[in-house]
Amino acid sequence: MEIKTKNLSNFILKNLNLNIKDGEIFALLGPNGAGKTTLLNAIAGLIPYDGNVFFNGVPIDDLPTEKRGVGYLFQDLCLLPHMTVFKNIAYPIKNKTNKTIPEKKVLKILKSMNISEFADYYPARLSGGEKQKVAMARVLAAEPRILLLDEPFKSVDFNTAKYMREELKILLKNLKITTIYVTHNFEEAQEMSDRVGILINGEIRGTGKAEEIFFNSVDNEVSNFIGSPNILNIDSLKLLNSGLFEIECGGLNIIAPHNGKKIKKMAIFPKDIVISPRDGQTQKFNQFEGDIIDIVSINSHFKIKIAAGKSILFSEISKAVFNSLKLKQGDKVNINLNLNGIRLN
Amino acid sequence: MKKIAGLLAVLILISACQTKREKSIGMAVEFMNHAACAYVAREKGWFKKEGLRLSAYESYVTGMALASAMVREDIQIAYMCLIPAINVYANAQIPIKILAGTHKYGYGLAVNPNKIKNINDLQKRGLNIGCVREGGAVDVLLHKAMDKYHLNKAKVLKNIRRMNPPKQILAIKSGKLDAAFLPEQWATMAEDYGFKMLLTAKDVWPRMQGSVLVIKDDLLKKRPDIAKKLIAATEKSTAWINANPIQAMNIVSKQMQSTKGVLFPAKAAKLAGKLEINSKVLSRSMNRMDYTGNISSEIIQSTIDYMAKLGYIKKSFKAEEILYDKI
Amino acid sequence: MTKSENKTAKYNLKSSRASSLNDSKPGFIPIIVLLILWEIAARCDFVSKGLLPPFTEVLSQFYELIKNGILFENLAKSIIRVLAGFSMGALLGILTGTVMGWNKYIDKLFNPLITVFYPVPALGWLPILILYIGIGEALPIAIIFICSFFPVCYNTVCGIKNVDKNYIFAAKTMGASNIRILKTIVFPLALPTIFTGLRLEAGMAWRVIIAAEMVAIPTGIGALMMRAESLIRMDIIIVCLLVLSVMTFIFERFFIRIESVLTKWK
Repeated sequence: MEIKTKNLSNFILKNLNLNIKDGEIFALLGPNGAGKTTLLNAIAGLIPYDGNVFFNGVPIDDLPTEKRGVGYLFQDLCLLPHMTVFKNIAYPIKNKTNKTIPEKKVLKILKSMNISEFADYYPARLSGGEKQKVAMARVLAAEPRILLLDEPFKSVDFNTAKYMREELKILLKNLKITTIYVTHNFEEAQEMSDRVGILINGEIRGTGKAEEIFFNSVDNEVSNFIGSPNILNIDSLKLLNSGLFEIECGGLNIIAPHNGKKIKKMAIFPKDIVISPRDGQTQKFNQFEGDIIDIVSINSHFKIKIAAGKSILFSEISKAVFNSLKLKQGDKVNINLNLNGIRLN
Repeated sequence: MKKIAGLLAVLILISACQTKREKSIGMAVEFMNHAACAYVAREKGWFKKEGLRLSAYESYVTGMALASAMVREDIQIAYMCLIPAINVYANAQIPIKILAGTHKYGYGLAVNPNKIKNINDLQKRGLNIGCVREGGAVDVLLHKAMDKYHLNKAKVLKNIRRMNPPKQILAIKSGKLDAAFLPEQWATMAEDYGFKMLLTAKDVWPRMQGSVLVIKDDLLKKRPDIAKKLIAATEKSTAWINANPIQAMNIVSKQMQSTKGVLFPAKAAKLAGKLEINSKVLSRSMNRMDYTGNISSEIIQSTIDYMAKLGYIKKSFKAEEILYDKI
Repeated sequence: MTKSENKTAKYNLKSSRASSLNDSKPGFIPIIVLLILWEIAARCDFVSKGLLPPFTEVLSQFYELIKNGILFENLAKSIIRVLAGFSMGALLGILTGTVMGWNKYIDKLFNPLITVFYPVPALGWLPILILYIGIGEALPIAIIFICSFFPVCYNTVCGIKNVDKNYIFAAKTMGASNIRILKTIVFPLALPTIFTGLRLEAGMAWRVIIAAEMVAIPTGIGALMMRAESLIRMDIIIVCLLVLSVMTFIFERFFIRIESVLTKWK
């Protein structure tokens, strides 16, 4: 099912135009209040809007929610508290068929999600991960035309969420349902989706593959949202020993592990550029000299603009560290690169 | 739990202290010409002459209301109907003594002559018959009437509407009642609104004791001289009423008019003011009663036994228990 | 086990025993103490017997009233009135409240009326009803109906309106029609609030019927109390009060039980 929106507008969304292909998993990224949930609600027909929504080229604006065939996984899951897990999953099926509950079908779904043992439980008894599974099972039970997933792993712990994301991705690919996946985590979006769209202040500021947006964004707001990475063009790549390379970029020779694939760009987050006083001692690995060009105070931290090698880099340090280092414009400092968060493209 | 026990103990102590306090003498009467001898004695100053200093003088619309007040308030002497007095003694277990009678009879059944031609008509369906609540003298008279005329009690009682005498008169006035068992002067008042007296206590209950003069045992023990003084004042008053019926009627009328304002507060007084207790009514009413201080222990006993039979008191008792032994 | 381990074990046992005692300790003890004090106070004449007969006499009178059928006769009348008035009032209240809570136009239409009449105490209607209906069986039933209808309606409206809108949205996305959502989602989720109203009004119905019977109706527990008052039969009055207390308790517990069955998901 192809999803298209044309000039979709309401109190938050501003003339939003989207094209999502059939079977695509489209991640919708954006900060809080950007309008992500509002967009999902508009597509589901839960809130009024101007403009048009098309499913396979057919406008659905006059269709009420219950007729749109949308599977919606809400942020807080909305498991019906007065129904058992079994009845929760059976609910959308019964709405469709209006016959007696298809017990076999529900049991099959329970088994496929590994939640058969919870069939007679009420949602209050379930853990966060179990609830999430039940919610997903319920969404899929109705065999929806499209899927809207609103931060589906928000209430699940990190490790469980990681494991569940892997499972979900396999499931979605097998089912080939067009999915809009809302998250505010770029890594998650990159992991789950075929394409990513960045929504800021009700406007789509860019769509494309995650790496494209990450490494090629010219929009300041988008860049700020994804962490304002320092993007460096890679000049050369030299193997040192197995798995370890010397990467020359912007006049800096960075030693980093790499799998040897051809790379054009490197991204380093400002928080991974650590500033220390220049003490005249021998430079360590991934430590470079730099000069402070500019210092900007932003909320509870400082953004330091540094000239290092042939590059201009931005570092981010807390006020406490800044005060202890007593930095000022023009200071000569060492910059130490923390390579845990680097991204290569 | 300790707190609850402590609070209870304090409450009990307070009530115990209350009973030990020295009490002033309070007198209560019914707002009816049944209490004529009290009204006359008061007007003539005979209570004062006998050395009786009353600190309070209260009037009550019904004998039952007076009886309730005797239980809880500082009323030591009362001119009240015999039947509520028996309730006070037997049910509320307040030790009292009957010092004297004040009148015989003084109750009647007034009916709408268009709807009720004879006593059997009281059994008709859909009638509204007024009567005071159970425990009143008129209510006992109702039962006596049903017994005497072999009426179907269930049918008659189904028609009974319980309300006090002034309300019954107002209901008669507005056409809501078809008959009413009432004490005098109210029974005679009903005639002014088109009703006719079908029965009086004389017809139903020969020698029926009307009101009596009662005194609480506590006061009697403390002041044994009071009994003689009260009896003397009452006898004098009763004799004077019989000798001077018109003057007696005037005194009663005057006393009831002045009491009305106290008895019925503000709005109720306005309502009650619509009920004219005029001298003609009083005169006719008082003629229907025998004002006498004579009291028969047989009649008292038969009344007690009848009330026990009706279940108004748990069990019968000897009349001597309640009668002042000097009678 | 070391000395300190032993001490800890003993302490844990003591505190768990104490806490289980606290949980299982019946609420009867204060009542028993009160009854004992009552008996003593009445028997020792701390309070006049006319005002406070001993508890044992009250019990004996209770037995008498059962034996001669007076208690059951009057209680039956009161029960029938309460059941009739309450069931009609509650049913209509739930129906009206559901429609009002679900449909904002009907809510706008009826809400001002409910707001005006809701605060009027049920007994305040007595004089008007006596004039319109007269004194018969319809009168107490009407009073109980009014006593039940407005609060149950109000509670139902609140219950329906307070259902989390997200559940309704979720149900819509699952293909449920409006009526189906009302029947399967909104009404069941509103039940706890509805039952709060039912439970409170079940007890209130008893308080109101007693008062109505005391003032205007010749039969029932309230009327029995008034007869006892004019006969200065405090023992009978207390029996009636105890019966009232028990009936209120039974009715309230009944609704608590039903609620626990219908809302076991809570």
